[in-house]
Amino acid sequence: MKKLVANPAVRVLQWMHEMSPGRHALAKDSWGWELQSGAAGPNTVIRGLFRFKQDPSLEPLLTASGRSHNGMRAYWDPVNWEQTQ
Amino acid sequence: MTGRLAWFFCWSKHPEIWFSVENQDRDHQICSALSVKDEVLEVIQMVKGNKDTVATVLFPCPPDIKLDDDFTAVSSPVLAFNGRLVTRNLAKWSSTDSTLPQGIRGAVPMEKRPKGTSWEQRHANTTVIRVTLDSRVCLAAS
Repeated sequence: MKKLVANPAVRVLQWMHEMSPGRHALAKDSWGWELQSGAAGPNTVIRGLFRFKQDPSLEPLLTASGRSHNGMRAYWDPVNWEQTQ
Repeated sequence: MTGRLAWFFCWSKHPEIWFSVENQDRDHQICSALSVKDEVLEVIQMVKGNKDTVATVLFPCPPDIKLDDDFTAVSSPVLAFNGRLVTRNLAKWSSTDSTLPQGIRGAVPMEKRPKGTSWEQRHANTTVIRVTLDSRVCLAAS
């Protein structure tokens, strides 16, 4: 948990690299990382935003949402669906 | 009315609800998330049967809404990630159509989108995607 909180973007990029190869290259930046309260208690949900270059090949990243790799399961949720292909 | 048209008919009356379903061939794969008022719920599942791909979407709806024939009312408590009870009233939409459309999507309401042209101009040709890691289903976050 400490490693994940310390640098969540890096861990998520690693997940992306494994679950949706090539898409991490489309990532431009990330921000807004927050530790939030969840159903499991305080500080149990990590949320952040990634900005990607618009590209049709982002689709596999969205469909990989919810898959698990190395004990990490990431859910992807576009801020604006109309921008996605 | 097809399921897809029925969905958009219903969705148009409740623009605060949006969702995504992607056609996949994975067994019991939770493949996306449903957002209600900026809170992500894990309620979308797609299950591949022996012959057909079954897509099921559950979404919160007012208890008094008259559902189209393609929807089934379901009563089950839905909690947001922060533990708040979102609703006890759900509508279920299912498709067993083997030619399920590649994507069925709602849209983020205008008021939820980043405001101001400057933001859009500075970040033209980009798209922003939120990522959520919940310790309930993410061992690395527990």
